[in-house]
Amino acid sequence: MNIFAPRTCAYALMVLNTALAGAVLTIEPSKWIVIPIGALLLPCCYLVIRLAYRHTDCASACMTEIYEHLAMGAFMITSALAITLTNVTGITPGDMGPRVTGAMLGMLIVFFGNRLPKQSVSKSCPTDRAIVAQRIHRRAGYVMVFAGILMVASWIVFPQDIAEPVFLVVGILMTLVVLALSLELRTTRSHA
Amino acid sequence: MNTVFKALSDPTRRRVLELLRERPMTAGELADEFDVSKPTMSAHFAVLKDADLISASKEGRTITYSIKMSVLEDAMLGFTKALNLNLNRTAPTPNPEH
Repeated sequence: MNIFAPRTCAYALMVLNTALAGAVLTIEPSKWIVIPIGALLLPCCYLVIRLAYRHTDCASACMTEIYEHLAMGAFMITSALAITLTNVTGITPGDMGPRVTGAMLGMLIVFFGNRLPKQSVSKSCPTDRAIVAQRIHRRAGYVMVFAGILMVASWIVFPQDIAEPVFLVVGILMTLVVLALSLELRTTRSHA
Repeated sequence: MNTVFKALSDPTRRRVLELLRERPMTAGELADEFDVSKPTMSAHFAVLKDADLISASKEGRTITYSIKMSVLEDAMLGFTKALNLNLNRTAPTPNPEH
């Protein structure tokens, strides 16, 4: 069974859920576009990693991931609706929606970055490649965790007009670094 | 998380994790690195597996262990190593021989 496709579906679902949450949260068209773009960065990183060296884990683990992403998407949409409601009723200030969504996206990146090195390498992968893959998983995980923390911090500390570009710049840099790491795997051999 | 703290509290287990961070190793290769009996090493491996910090794959009679640490767990390992913490004073090393 090729489990690459269900994995892609899982990440696609996550993007859809996050984008929907962002769209619900932010009413101004000029603002809400930032959130789905940010939401795309994480699955892009994953897809790059997957495409770069096509690991295959067991199918049950893949299904667990899909359920986790669905649950996370449901949580984000529920949170978005709740925050929108508090905005409409005037309980929270107007920029609280984008702030919470941005911070949640940052936390999502921290969560998945933290778990990235735990991903098992396919048994069909040659040992030297598996060693390098494991090492790059760890580095990419660290990059994603630090980027996620920076994103969360930017939405907490800075005003919205500064937080948005910081969020995007950090996200783009993170994607480029993970991309570079993935490309490194294609050309590097382990000397262990 | 408690099992992770327990696993990282022992210097031998921390050294095992550091070795596995370099490359996957067989149980025999790992046991050769330490001056302890094989049953004791097996007990250490069991603790690490229970904490989901390593994974084992069996081929014939050879068991190969690989690292399976998250970023947070990796940072915790580095932190305990940097401070040279010995958190094991109250938690004795498992020894199945006794």
